[in-house]
Amino acid sequence: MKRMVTRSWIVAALLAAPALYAECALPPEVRLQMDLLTGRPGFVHYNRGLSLYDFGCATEAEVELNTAIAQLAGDAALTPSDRDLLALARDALTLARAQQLLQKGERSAAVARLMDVARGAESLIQLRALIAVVPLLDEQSPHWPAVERALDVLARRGYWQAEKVVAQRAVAGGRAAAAAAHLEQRLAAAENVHDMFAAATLLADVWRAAGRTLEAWLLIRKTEREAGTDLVDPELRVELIRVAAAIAGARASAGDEEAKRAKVIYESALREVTKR
Amino acid sequence: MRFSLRSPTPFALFIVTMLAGIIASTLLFRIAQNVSLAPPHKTIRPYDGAATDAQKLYLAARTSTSDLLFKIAFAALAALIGLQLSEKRRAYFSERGIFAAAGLLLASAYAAFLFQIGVSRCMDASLDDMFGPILSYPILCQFWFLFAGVVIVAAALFRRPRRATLAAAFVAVLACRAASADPAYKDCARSWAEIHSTALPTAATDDAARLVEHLVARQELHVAKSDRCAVAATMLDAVRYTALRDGSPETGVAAGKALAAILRAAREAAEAPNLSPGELVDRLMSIAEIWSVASGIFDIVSPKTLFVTVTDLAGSGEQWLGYTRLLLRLPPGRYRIRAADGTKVVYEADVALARNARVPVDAGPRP
Repeated sequence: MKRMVTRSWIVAALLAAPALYAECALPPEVRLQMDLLTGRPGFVHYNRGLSLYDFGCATEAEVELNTAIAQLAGDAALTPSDRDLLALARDALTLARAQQLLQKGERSAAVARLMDVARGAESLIQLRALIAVVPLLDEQSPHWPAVERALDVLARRGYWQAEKVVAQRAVAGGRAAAAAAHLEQRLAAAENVHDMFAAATLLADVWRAAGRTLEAWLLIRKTEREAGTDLVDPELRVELIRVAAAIAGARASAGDEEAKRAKVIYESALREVTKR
Repeated sequence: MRFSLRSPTPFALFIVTMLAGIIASTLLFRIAQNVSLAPPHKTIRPYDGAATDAQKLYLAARTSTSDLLFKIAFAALAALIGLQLSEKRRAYFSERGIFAAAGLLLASAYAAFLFQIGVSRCMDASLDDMFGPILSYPILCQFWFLFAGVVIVAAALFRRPRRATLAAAFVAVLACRAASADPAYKDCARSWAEIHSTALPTAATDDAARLVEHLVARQELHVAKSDRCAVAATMLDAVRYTALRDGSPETGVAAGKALAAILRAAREAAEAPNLSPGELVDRLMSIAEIWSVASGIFDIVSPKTLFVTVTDLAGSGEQWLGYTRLLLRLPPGRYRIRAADGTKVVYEADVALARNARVPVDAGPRP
């Protein structure tokens, strides 16, 4: 249930934004979704803050999250789920402030803040912190053990974004075969449609990185046919198109005519879904 | 008829024991009716031929038990009448013992009649009631009256009234001991609520007990008496997790009300003959299933309510979630236990769990 709730938060966050934050260049449909958010004020402000953070509007996100924290903390009788939400809002505020520091170029201060959240309990806020901190760490960073451990925990819990970061780290470290073997196991053991699509998409990407482009091409084409009707996770749909475009590009370079045609379509689709 | 307490006549003793037995059985049956899902003279889900396999098996087993006890009581009564009518052998027995035993055997036969009424009532009102006391109390009466009667007859064969009295006292003590050493799930639910500082309404306590009883019966578990409260606690902890995740308070009257609503819904879902009773009941079923295999128990405590994740370090990395205090029965293995206050991890340890072990885990921190 916790996962369902948090997943709905991230979907809500991705699809929401208020009109008053026009300077953040939020797409109109996102603004509309954000205005439709209902519930307790603390919960609504928290979700608006997250949406703004996800679109890089750190200052506006900070305002919303501070409001959420003030409203939640002002409640005399907090239930355990209220306390969890309050803690999540505080962590999200830390992320927003880290984003501001990054925008100012204060990288190490941002990393320190992000690591505070990354060391916390499993949540989508922790996942956001990990995804934000990974590109900021150099190979000698002392934070890697903690980051990899937290990513591994989230990946085992079915967060495909964490699995993706783990796989990319493995490929970059020359361990593409091991990453592919792990994802093959994940695909075989997938317990639901979402996990199956996530594992297949990531596996195709790892195969492409390992030079197994034909296998990657066959897998992504098969996945794409089924995903058209069965894949509902908007983030994963975008990832699927991104991976398909990359694989089609690799196959097109090798002279695959069908892949050349598909590449044009995938790239066009990718522009549509990422233009916001 | 002249009756003296100091030395009652055999016939008076027969009447007294029979009436006492009949009154006790009737009272217990009335109590069972009052705690039934369907109130007396009300129909909730009448039998429409759609009984589950578990219900059919349970009813068949109960009916055959009652039938067997009735036949034994009837045969024993016939034998006693035969003995009394046999003038030649009559002098060798204690008449009082024989008459008292006959009274108890008749009470046992009467309890068999109550059982049949109970079955009819389950068919009329709600099949779900069959797992409750409406069928179990009459059978218990049948058994104990029969057992007491047989023991008294055995003692009476020695023609020593005092021994017969001693035997009857022994049986009474045994029955009382069995009753007191046998915590009902209702008592377990009550003590669980006390431990969690939750004011669980009486009806919710009944629902909790019936839910656990039903799931135990459905999984055909043979739960040792000493494990009853642990079984109930592992299931009620899962119900509490659902309540807390849904935003209900952790203690007090409001927590009890929130739990009561979930328990009622879970009980009705569990007792309905549906293929998919819902996420919570599925979870409770899997908890009940773990009790069918050799496992260990984590008892995770903390002064403050903490969110706990227990992850299997082997295999699929399966995870169990809950709030302290949490009683979790799991297969033997190594587990990572994390306790978080909000998003701050305040306890983390890898803990081994052995078969039949009960591992206390103090997750702290101190307030």
